[in-house]
Amino acid sequence: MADKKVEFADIGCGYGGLLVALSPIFPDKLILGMEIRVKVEGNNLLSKEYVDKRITALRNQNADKKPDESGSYQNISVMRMNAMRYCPNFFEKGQLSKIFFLFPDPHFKKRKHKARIVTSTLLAEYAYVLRPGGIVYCVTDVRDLHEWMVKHLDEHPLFRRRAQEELDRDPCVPCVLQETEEGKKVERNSGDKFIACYERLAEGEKGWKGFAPILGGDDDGDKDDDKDEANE
Amino acid sequence: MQLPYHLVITLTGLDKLLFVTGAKIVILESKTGKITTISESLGTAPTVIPTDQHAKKQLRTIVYHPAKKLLAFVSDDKELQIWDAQTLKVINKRTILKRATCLSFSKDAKYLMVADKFGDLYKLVVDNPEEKPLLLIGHVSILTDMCFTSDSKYLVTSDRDEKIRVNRYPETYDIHRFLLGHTVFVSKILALENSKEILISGGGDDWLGVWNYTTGKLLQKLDIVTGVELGESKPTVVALKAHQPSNTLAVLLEKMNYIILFDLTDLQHIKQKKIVKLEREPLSFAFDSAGNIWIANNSTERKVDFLAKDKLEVVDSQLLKQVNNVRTDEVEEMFELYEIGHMRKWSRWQPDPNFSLRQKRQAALDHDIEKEESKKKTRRGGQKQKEKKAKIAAETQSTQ
Ligand SMILES: C[S@@+](CC[C@H](N)C(=O)[O-])C[C@H]1O[C@@H](n2cnc3c(N)ncnc32)[C@H](O)[C@@H]1O
Repeated sequence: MADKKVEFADIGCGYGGLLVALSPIFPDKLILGMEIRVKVEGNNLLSKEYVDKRITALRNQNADKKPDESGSYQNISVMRMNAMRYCPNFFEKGQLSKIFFLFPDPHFKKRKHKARIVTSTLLAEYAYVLRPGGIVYCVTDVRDLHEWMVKHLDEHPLFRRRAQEELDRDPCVPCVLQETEEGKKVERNSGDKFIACYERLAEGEKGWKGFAPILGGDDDGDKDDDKDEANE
Repeated sequence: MQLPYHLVITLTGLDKLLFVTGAKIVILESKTGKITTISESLGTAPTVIPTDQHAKKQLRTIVYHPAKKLLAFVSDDKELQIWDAQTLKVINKRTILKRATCLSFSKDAKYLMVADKFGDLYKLVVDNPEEKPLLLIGHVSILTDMCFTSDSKYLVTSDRDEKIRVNRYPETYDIHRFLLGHTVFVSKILALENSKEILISGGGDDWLGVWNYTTGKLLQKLDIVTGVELGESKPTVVALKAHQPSNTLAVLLEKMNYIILFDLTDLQHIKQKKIVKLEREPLSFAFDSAGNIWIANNSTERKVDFLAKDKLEVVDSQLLKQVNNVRTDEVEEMFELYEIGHMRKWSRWQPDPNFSLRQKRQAALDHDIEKEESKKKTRRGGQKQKEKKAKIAAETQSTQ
């Protein structure tokens, strides 16, 4: 286990529900949750601390199990980081076999669309850390965001959408739909859930011309001014 | 107050040097000393530019295609112009979407790459200003510089985080490598022409990086601070260029009166050649075809300095007088011509160079946490300030 590398990344892992669900299904894979938020809503703990506590509790309850045994919860962990900025600093080229974007922030306002976590240009960085054959999972309850992610992934030459039969065979699919806190909340409110899974291809098409521009309003300034709400 | 020249480039193959001042371009013919001023919007005679105008019209970045003798430049009001450098006639103009930071022609000069403050890089068709730009690359922070490798297989981009990205070209959706090792922003990158593998980078670190961009390995760090009196400040690379016939690499640091020269004879062991002390703050420089160095100063009384190639010392020349005697446009109030140093205040983290990768990652995290928290504070502060402002406004109203 010690010299193993992380293979699955849950981007914006929130309360860590997916980590806990996948841990016993993939006891031989290291799974990392990445979360930017400092505080969990209605909770005084740092988000990372919260997930850490949750994992530690599970490990203690299952202390009788061997580290690489299913249900020992030794294969999951969480990190506080901005995954949009730092993915390539943490993972080598082709290190990951799965990346999860589950119920990402929708950024409804048009001028904030560029801040969405899945865009045609950012996908280049996710493709870099993902190995050929690796899979990206996108789940949301917001139709507009689902269509956005599908459009950008469809447009990206290194991704191919997986067919329904492929999803039916994938043990991760029920987890990504049901096991996260956000997924459960949507379930309680009987909201819609949209899923799209894409496979990372080894090579893209030749003769590719470029992406359509991502329009995020016509305000000027620079990227970080735009992000920094203090400036508004 | 007359504007200095803030950019200088050599028009290779035309025996001309090009100086940018405010919104205008001054061209010096090195054979005859003839001076030509070009400007579409302001006319060629020197004028006084109102304070609120100069910032908009200022030419931000310029690029030259030596084989096709084309010039492209952008002003801060987002107008992109393409000129024929031989005839000095404008070919076309168009408005771009965002403020540009850097430009680059494709090898065949069919396309112009335009990178912007939003971290995006667009491909424009040179001949057709009507054709819609296509998006090739996007960084999460300001895209600071770009360059094609000599074989045009890669288009390399750098950003205000510490990243350099080696993108396959034209398949820029496919990243070949990240060149990681800088600890703060990267402001300039340069792929050497006579080497298929070497790229040099500089930014807010004490060193220039010498990389093998195919393997992603950092081969060498070139010290740029020893022998330079930095005082309290940290170095910021504002210009980085090479003259390969004479195996010389040169670098300027923001607001530092030096030009630092390196010897490129042995690319495996690049050595410092000389540090030349200058009288004034340099803004930009260019090697002419012979290897002499022309330095544009942040100064009104002596706009350009000249370093002769053999002595590598500041000397005088007739040509230099020609360009220094040009009356440039005037502004009522001088403004900041250095663009890069302010990036430092947002830079992420500055760990000790002996940090292990793991510690670096932790430092990056801690920095992010701090940033998030200070942002919250300013947000709260902003609210308080708003309240204060509203209160003052109310008070002044009631006293009137
Ligand atoms: C709506 S929540 C969903 C959480 C979890 N995936 C779930 O399904 O319950 C989205 C999460 O993404 C996190 N997030 C947003 N941008 C991020 C980034 N750049 N890096 C890491 N996490 C991010 C947010 O802080 C938030 O916790």
